[in-house]
Amino acid sequence: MAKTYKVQVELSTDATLQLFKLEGYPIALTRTLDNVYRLAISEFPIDGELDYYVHCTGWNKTTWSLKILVDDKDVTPEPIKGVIEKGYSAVRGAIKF
Amino acid sequence: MKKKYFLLYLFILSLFNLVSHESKAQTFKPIFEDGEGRSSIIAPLGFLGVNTENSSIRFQYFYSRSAELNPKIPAEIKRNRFYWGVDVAGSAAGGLSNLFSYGSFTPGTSASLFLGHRSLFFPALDKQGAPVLHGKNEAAIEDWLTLRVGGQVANYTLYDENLPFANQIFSEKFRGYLTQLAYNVLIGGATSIGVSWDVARENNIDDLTPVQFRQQTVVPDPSGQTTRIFEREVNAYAGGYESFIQNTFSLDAVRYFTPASDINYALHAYGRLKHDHAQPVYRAGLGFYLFPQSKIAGGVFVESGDLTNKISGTPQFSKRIDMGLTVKFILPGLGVPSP
Repeated sequence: MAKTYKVQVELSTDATLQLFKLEGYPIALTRTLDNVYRLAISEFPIDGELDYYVHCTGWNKTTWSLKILVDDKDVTPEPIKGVIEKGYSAVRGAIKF
Repeated sequence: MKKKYFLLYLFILSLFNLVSHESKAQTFKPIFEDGEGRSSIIAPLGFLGVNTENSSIRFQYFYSRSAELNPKIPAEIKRNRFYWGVDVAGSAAGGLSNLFSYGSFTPGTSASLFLGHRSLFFPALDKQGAPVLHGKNEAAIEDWLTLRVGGQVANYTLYDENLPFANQIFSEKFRGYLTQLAYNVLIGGATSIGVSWDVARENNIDDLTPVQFRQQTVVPDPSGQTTRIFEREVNAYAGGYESFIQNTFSLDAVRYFTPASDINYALHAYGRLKHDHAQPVYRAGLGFYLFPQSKIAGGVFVESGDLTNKISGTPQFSKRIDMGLTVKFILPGLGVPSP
């Protein structure tokens, strides 16, 4: 059985976040005052690596930057970044921690 | 006049200095407005901006939420396509320099509430959450419909030399409103078209002539030996002030160019059809904007407020052309590395 962790997500972008997934689960992030989509989950099951998926739409060359904290530890010391081309950016990846 | 431009230059320079220490990737800003601050391209995005043409500072925030699991059908996603936003603007009717200096000026404030729906005709996601792409180029198309309801409050000091001396300077309180319905589509992240209709209660304060003078009040000492003179500076508008209901149909087209260089640029063409007089008035303009590697963006636009010479009374077309400058920058992130 997967161990559960406290997970905090901050996705900074001027684009529109269409879909964000963690471990394959679509998770709704809400945009805050400074154009950052934020979320905190107290008990989130993670099995091995932390899989993520980001899909943004917007103007070309608009960037997004993903920062994730697991049990208050920053597992993305270098934020994961993406850039919109042809109106969208859809990126899948995994984080070892 | 020179002092005004000098202050404007200083302000723009300070804005650049404020953000120039941050070397960031290019970001796109919603600055595609005409000289009156009107646009059919409503970007559901937070920003803080300055429009020097109508001397306004604006703050905007939009709430939105990404997709989530559909609680009724777990195999599908629920696309959260509704959004809302607020927009608050302050303007100094006497010019931008008055907004940042002491003295008497005539401020105006406006606020708007937005309700919107994304992916009306072009869904960004299919029901399983995969991106929906179009054409051989496999580009994304997104669209959004926005209803805007707003109000405006402004106090103006007016001057009419034809009135008796004691009544020549007087105040006028303006209470305006705006209802706008706008539809936008963004094709391949580079081309955007917006159409909108709005009805608004507006005034002609931009057409009046700003005047400035000093007013002295002389108070003699009862003994007759001393005279005290009080002096204050008055900024006012001269001319026939009027407010009216105006219907405006807007069409905006933007092409955003992203070359391999550090600076991106955009072209903006727009047209307005206004119904506030016996004859419709056409307004049109062209803007050119630069997006350097910073949190700031700016550009210039030229426009004709009366394209077909219906109301201006100036037959020469070149004299009906105005030029504007706009500069905006995005709110800084709070504790989050910016892109």
